[in-house]
Amino acid sequence: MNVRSQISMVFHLDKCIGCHTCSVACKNVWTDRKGAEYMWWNNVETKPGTGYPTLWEDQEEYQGGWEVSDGKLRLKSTSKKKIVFNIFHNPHMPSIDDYYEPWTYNYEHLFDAPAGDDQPVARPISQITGELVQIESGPNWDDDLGGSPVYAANDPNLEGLSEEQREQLSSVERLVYFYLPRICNHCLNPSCVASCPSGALYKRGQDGIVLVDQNRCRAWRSCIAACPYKKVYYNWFAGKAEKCILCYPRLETGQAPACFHSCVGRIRYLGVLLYDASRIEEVALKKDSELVEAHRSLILDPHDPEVIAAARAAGIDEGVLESARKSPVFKFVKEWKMALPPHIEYRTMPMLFYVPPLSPVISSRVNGLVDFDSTDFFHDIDESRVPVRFLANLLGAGEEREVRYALRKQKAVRWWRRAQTAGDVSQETALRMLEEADCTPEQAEAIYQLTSLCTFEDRFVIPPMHREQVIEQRQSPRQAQSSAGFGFTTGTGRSI
Amino acid sequence: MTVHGSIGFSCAMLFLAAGLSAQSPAEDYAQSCAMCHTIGGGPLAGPDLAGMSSRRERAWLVRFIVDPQAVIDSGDATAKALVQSYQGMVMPAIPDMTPERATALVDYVRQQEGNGGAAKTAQGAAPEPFTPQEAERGEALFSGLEPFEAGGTACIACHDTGGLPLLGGGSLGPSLTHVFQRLGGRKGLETWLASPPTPAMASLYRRKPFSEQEITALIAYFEARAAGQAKPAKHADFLLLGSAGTVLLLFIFHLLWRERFHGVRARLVRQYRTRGVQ
Amino acid sequence: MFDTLLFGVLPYVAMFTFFLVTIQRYRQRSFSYSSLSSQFLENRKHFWSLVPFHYGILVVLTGHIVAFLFPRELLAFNSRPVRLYILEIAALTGGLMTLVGLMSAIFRRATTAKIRTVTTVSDWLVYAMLTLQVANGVYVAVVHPWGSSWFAASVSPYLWSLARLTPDITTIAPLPWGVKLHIVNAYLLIGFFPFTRLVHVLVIPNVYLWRKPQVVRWPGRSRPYPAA
Repeated sequence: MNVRSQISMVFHLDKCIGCHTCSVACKNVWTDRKGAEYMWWNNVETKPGTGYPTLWEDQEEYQGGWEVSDGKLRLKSTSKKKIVFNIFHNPHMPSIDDYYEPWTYNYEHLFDAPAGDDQPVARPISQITGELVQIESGPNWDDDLGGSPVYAANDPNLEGLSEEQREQLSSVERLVYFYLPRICNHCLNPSCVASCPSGALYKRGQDGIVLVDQNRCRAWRSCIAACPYKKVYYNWFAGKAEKCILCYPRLETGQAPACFHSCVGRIRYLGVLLYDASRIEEVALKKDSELVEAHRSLILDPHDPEVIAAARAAGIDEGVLESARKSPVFKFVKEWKMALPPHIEYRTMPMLFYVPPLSPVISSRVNGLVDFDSTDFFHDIDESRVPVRFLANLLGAGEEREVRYALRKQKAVRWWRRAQTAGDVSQETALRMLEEADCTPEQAEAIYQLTSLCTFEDRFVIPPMHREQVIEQRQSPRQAQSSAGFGFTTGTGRSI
Repeated sequence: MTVHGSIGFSCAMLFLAAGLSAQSPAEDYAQSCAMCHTIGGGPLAGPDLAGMSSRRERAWLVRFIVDPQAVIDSGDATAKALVQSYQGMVMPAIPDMTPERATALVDYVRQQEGNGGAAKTAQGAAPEPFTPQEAERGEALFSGLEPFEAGGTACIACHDTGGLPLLGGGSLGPSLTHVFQRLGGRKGLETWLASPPTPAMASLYRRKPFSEQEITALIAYFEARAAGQAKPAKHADFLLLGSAGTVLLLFIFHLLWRERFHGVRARLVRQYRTRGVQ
Repeated sequence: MFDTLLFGVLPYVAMFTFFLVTIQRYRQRSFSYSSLSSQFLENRKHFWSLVPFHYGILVVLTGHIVAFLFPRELLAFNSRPVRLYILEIAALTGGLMTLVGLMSAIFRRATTAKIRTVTTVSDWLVYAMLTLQVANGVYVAVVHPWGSSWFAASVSPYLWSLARLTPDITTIAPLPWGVKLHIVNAYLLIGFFPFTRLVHVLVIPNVYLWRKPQVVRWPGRSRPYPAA
């Protein structure tokens, strides 16, 4: 057993209202710079939809992530042998057209325009060239199903859906969508790190945050193609790769990352997970259908004395162990099995988990009336407007089992609370539902507490990181400032 | 090493080279002139120098020896006539030649005239004609199939004879198709090749000289070629072959990377537009 | 004297500048060591520019280096005219590929607005020098064949004399202007190299091919630690 700690995340999709506050918070803090205008380290996508960059989930196109060939893990885009021949032109790298050309408006025209018959308007100008542009696309272009015949209709997760289910997605009064906020997953088996020819990308040993060493990045661009989630971006001005840094400067000072902190719907949870690093490869080689469970099996119980002993032997701080025991992520992912990794079939072992959305149907209708006493409690999960198949493609590597389990538990908890408060569901029914959903009243209460009444401290259990001590032992803090994450204190090298 | 260091170092080398050329006129004559000229021994690649002092003015001679091309370029009638009589061949400039050295050489030649031509005379009777085997060996040496004993580079690198197959010889140096006539036949070539006077040849073959047999074989080959036609260099063929290779490779690149990413968003929009609004 | 300056002094000045500035730049501004790829801004012409250019120049540079390091072996290889011709055609193909790629790259950079915004004066200088060098090289290859042989015979001894710090320019002094221009421009390129984006050549990935796929950095450990 090789115990390591990882700062992990849970996003509760049932609570996300798609307000993009997280994206804006992140943008204001980190990517409001030249070359980074188009980057959204945090973005919110509407599902069904093709996301950002367009169709990022289609690995036939983008060739991101890992594949298993001859019983070995191999990068899909540029494996070691291929990198030599593809270093001049990366054959799988998306260009700016697949994100969008960042723009602003020439507001000064409102003031400078000569007198005329017409009201002056501020027209869009490119943030790259400064010239007038025709806006064709944006980071959330298909927000709330905008342009769905082009975008939503091509969502790769629609695979395996019946014709009727597909049609329903665009028919008035039946259509449905939910939001998928995305940041870097800080994977256990990151393909971006594995693909970097310069060794610039790395995973921090102490907390698992994946970073790009800006001084070692040489713009070979492999990471951008290799990341199946397209969460490594290319700064076209600096000639460097950049990505979500999980606000590590904030984490190191005990604050939640900007997107977590600003989340209006309180959908985000952050905490430590202990995992067994010696089993990563073994797990990543499993069949698609076993991946979700195998991934979960990597996560170790921080209450288990054996795990604690191994963690201490591996040099994990007591403070980290303490926060691992309080981790909300551990509860959602391991204890309750309600949070699932996105597209685990890419085999990067993402450490961001999603609680699947239950909305909008929560009850069955018989003759137009809500029937609370049906004996088949969970049939409506299959009749949900968001097809389970769709969620399974997104969160279960195509397997419906895990998604169904998470949805059933969510529904059971709701009915349990309904029995406690509204009283229109009998205690007996609620208990029976809990039982069928593999849940106890205590667990249901805990789920309810952490879902609905969670405080700041409940949601974000940030371990003490003591990085400042480590840095001071090794180098001057000022030097450290430019050696990790992003940003630079010297020029870009574009001119002499 | 610093910049200043390297400049100083190079200058030192320069002075060293200049110092080395301080030698007696006799040695100088042997090294710089004897491969093309005799004094009373008949013409080789260049004219017989016997009677030179009476034919030309002393100042003209010094000027010509220091820089032959400059004198010809100045429109000097004598020099022009001389070039014409040697089929356009110009005497190569002798490296680091100074008026002082040239004066010493002119004096040396006049003195030798007085001595009745102590310098080389033609050797014996007319030599036997070349055998075809010698000419064949000459071609092998020329094209590199047989290496020179001293390790000199094969002639094909820079010269053509109009008789080589495929793409022929190089054209950094002049075509050697008619070198037999140009450099004064067998006798002239023998002395010329024994110690090539032009700077390019000298720099390559002074340290790796041709053996006597090699010279004979080469001359045999040149004699055999002399009857033939000089062919223009095959630059166009060569360029064409290179261009064909380039086009082929570009096509192969296209095939190898035909699955490369061409963008998806624009395609989705295009597909939708061609399908039309439903 | 002019020859001595160009071929006896300039190479040392160029090499000195090259080493001093590249090392200084790597130590103090390693952030600026980047290929500054613009593939992200323009993806299609990029393929037809960068791929032919780089593969072409790899072939050509390898040829020059082999002729410098192993002149004897090269001459031995060239001793059969057919082999000489094949080698020369391959080299010329490499040169033409470089030229095609370079022209395409210049066209791409000049005509794409997005790329122009990330182009600096030093980029254009590099392009100008490279164009001169490559076009001149192709000219020499075509007009003064067979370079693979006479390079090994004339230029290699000169380069070795430079390497031994005893510059001897007698073998290259009689070469035609085209070749001399090629040599002088090469020195200028070497000298200008460390000030430009060309430094990316020096940081081509090496350990990647044999390092473990995952990189984990631990605080307090100076070397990146290969993951299990």
